Amino acid sequence: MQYLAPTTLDDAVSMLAAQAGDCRVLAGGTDLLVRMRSGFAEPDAVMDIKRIGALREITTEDGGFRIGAAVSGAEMAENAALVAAWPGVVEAAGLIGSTQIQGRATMAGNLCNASPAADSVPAMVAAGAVARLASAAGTRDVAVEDIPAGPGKTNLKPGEFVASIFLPARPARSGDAYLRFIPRTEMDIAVVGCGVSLTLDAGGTCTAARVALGAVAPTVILVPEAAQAIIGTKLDDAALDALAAACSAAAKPIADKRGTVEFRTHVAGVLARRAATIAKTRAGEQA
Amino acid sequence: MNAEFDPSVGTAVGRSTPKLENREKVTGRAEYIDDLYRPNMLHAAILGSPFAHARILSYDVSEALAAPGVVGVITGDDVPAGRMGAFIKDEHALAKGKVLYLGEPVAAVAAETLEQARAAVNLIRVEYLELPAVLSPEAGLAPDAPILHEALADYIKVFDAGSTGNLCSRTELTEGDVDAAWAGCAVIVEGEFTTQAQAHVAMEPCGALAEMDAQGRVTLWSANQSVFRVQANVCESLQLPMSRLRSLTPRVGGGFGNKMEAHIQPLTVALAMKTGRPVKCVLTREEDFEIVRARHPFRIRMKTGADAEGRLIARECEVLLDCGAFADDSPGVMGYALLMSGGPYRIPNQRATGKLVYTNKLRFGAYRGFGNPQVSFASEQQIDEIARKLSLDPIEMRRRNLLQPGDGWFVGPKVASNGLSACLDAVEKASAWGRKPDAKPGTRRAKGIALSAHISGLLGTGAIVRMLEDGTISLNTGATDIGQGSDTALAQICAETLKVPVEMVSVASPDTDGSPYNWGTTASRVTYTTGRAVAGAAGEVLRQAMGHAAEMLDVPVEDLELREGGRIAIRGSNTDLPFAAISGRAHWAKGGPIVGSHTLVFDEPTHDPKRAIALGLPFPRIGVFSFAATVVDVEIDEVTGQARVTEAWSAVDVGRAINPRLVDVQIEGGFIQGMGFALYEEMVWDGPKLANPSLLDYKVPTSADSPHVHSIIVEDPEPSGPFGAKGAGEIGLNPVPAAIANAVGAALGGVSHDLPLTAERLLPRIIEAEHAA
Ligand SMILES: Cc1cc2nc3c(=O)[nH]c(=O)nc-3n(C[C@H](O)[C@H](O)[C@H](O)COP(=O)(O)OP(=O)(O)OC[C@H]3O[C@@H](n4cnc5c(N)ncnc54)[C@H](O)[C@@H]3O)c2cc1C
Repeated sequence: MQYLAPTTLDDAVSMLAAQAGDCRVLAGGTDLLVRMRSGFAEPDAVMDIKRIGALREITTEDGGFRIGAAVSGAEMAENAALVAAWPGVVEAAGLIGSTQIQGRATMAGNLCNASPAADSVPAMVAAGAVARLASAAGTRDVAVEDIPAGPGKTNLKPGEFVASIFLPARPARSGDAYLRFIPRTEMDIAVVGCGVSLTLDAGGTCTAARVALGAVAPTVILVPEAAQAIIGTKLDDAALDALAAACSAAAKPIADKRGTVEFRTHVAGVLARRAATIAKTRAGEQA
Repeated sequence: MNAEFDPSVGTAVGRSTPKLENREKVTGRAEYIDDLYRPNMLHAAILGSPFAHARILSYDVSEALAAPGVVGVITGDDVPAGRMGAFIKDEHALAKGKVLYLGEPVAAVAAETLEQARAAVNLIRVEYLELPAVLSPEAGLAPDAPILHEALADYIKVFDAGSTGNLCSRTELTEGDVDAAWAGCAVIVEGEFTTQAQAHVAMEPCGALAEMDAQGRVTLWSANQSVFRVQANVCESLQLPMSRLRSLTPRVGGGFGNKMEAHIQPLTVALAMKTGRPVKCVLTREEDFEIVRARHPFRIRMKTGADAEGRLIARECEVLLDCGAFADDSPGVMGYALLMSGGPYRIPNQRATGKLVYTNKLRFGAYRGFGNPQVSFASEQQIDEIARKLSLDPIEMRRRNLLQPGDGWFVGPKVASNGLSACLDAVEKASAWGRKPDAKPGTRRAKGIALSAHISGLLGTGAIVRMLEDGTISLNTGATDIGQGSDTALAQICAETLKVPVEMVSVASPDTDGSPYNWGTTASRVTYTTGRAVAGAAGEVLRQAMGHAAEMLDVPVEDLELREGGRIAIRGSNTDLPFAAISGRAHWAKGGPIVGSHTLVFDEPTHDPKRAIALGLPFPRIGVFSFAATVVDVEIDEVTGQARVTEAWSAVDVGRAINPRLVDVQIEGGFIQGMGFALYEEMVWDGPKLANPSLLDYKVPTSADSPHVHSIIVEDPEPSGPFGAKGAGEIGLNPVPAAIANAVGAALGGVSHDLPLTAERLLPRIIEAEHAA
């Protein structure tokens, strides 16, 4: 097995293009190395992207944030402006693993690992995050919800990888939140996860919203009906009930050792309600 | 004065001396089995059975033997026909003729590298004839069930097991007249309860390293709870004289029961003998889940009756246990669970019966609590149920029924020290029991209580104490410290007896060549039984030292006294002798080196025939009793059903805390392990296959899940114990699932019939209660 460690994005792109066999991008390695060690992945080469300076930075752009693909969860949590603008996304990334894992794990890795239960992905989808993909052909921007294709599969083309993730600028009175249900309090895989991002007008009426669910379908899903249930409302009980019902209806989970269909469906609604309430409070505080 | 040892250190017992090996562990220098290497050592990998139940028709190992780096392969054809087992000798070193569970080792490879061994294992071809599998005890008892052990009748059994068909053993204990007693009860509660399989998840997976010398004698290092049980199991299964096997242990990273009986030591020895080279075999985490052992799933039917004042009159308990493929410690677990099924209460009429059934699953065996947490889960909930029916407070209900000082235990064991009532008082006060906790909006919250008793004792043990030339002390017991700190506690007992600082005592690592017999680090027994042996052996050293001193000072022994710092003095005078002077004389001039030894076997009978009828009792002699009371504060999320313990109080009567901090951590660790069992730990089978053999899918509590556990030590000295001590290792776990279930019952109403108490189980109860309201 070959270990590649480019130091510039251009080198990375050409190295990846030159690889004939199975070459995997190595970010934090908290998924990849575990899979390799247990024999589930046997790549011909790994390309470590942590030496590429540009991919290790969080920069502001058009009022939003561009997060390099090699930025760890711990680094995100230390960026005060990012935490203030996208507390839900940062919290979701911060739920991944433990302190040790946090020092390594990246959101791009979480996204490209393509687990339906990936914690940061529903938050990114709710945020309307856009991934910038790089390849020898140049770069293209793709909405985060369009990256996963199924459990463990992405829509990335051969020779393509995620260079950064962009979180757009926030209108005033916006807030986001991510909640998950796990049997324990840490180091666990979401039985259900839910991200909500919304914007209120001066009167407290919701003008825009995005709601995403994790672990209830083969990929993280965006639930427009759930967003519709709260847009135009003040997130009163009736609106929250409708939101919960829309989420439960959209949830198409499987029954496995982590949870039954009934339970996951129920909890999808419960979490949506709670996440929306937190997002609303955060939006109000921003007024 | 001897300048080296500061007598102001004072007495050793009762002090929270840090563990002797702390520095070694904190600096990462402690050596566990996987850290050991021998020159020329090979690495082993194991081939597991793909079937739960099958006949082995043939092996083809040619391809594996030809693979790079492979030095040797063993199959069932290479191991002798010997069978091992603590109660029923039913298990070979490696599957022979038949496989009895999915994953059971059928062959093993030794190769130059671990990667080569793992690759070669997959090249072994085994031809099987698949047989129908028995996957539950109920199925095993069906009249036309496939039989796992065709030769069961011929196996050696160490007690009257009553084995037949797939019935591994049965036990029946009766006291009073239960059938007649129901008529006199004002309240009767009855219910069925099930508990799940729990994995030990010791931090260190099981492993072994074996090496044969030129004489054909084998040295075996392994992760274990008893070097002597390892020796016995290897020698029984491989038909070796015990004198040909030396069993040792490096540091052990936790056991909780899964390292007490054999794991892969026999097959590792077989590989070393086959290849003539040292062989190391360490299980992966997945293998450790799949092929060692686990806590028994229980099905319990329990019925309890009381009079109108809440005094218990009768208790009936019937259990059905999944044994798994081999008996292992299962008959003991069932017998012990039945013995404990009445709890620490006065109940004049009791009947406890059980059946243990072979199934085509991983063997179940010893696990901290040894069947007691399972029966307590049923028993303690029924106490609360009766209290509810009689509108009694759960603590008042218990107080009316406590086993009183002087009372014996169900079936007959004597109970000497009994600090149960003090434990109950302590948790009532510490937890502010009378004050109802405030529930946050969207949550239900309540406290729950449970009591427990547990034995410490069983079987043989010994100690050798030697006074070295310079007067310092060498202690050798053969007891394995599996991380709980027994080396430290035993050194404290030795130091206290000889009035020397603990630092003056060295503790030898267990070695069947040099250590006196020790049955094992199990049954909460080391501090109590081995502590007795240590006190006896150190006392013998003192007696000899006094004899020397009397001759040296020319006074009668009665005029002498032992003083702090290891000095023998003439009473009322400043004339004294340090141990160094006494030991020097013994080594070089007169009497010979001072060596004290003491051995004992716990010999108080379990069964009093005047009191009870007992059939199939696996432990004719058992132990002394420790007691505990636990209160938990539980919060339940109304919309997800998730339960969380917010705070806990556990009082344990340990007779005398030799080392209070080590007792505290037993209470805390036991609590957390019991909480995991109560709330989410569960081994799940998908047909015959274990579905969650990894730390990803099998949930153990992390430190973030652990509430503040207030540990309270109660000391009611045990007359037979060393300095009054009795065991603390298991009891802290026993009452936890029951206390949590009782808190859930108080918060939501009703009884919890099935463990674990997951959100999915509790949510429907909340919804039902809301509909009812
Ligand atoms: C103990 C532990 C606990 C965990 N807990 C959680 C949890 O609570 N929630 C959760 O969601 N996950 C959890 N995980 C999984 C893992 O930590 C996360 O998915 C993490 O975000 C992966 O990021 P990484 O940078 O380590 O990815 P890596 O392991 O480096 O990569 C993951 C996959 O994505 C690919 N990849 C990585 N970066 C890129 C890129 N820029 N472009 C294209 N492909 C790329 C890799 O080739 C690989 O296939 C846990 C893992 C462990 C070991």
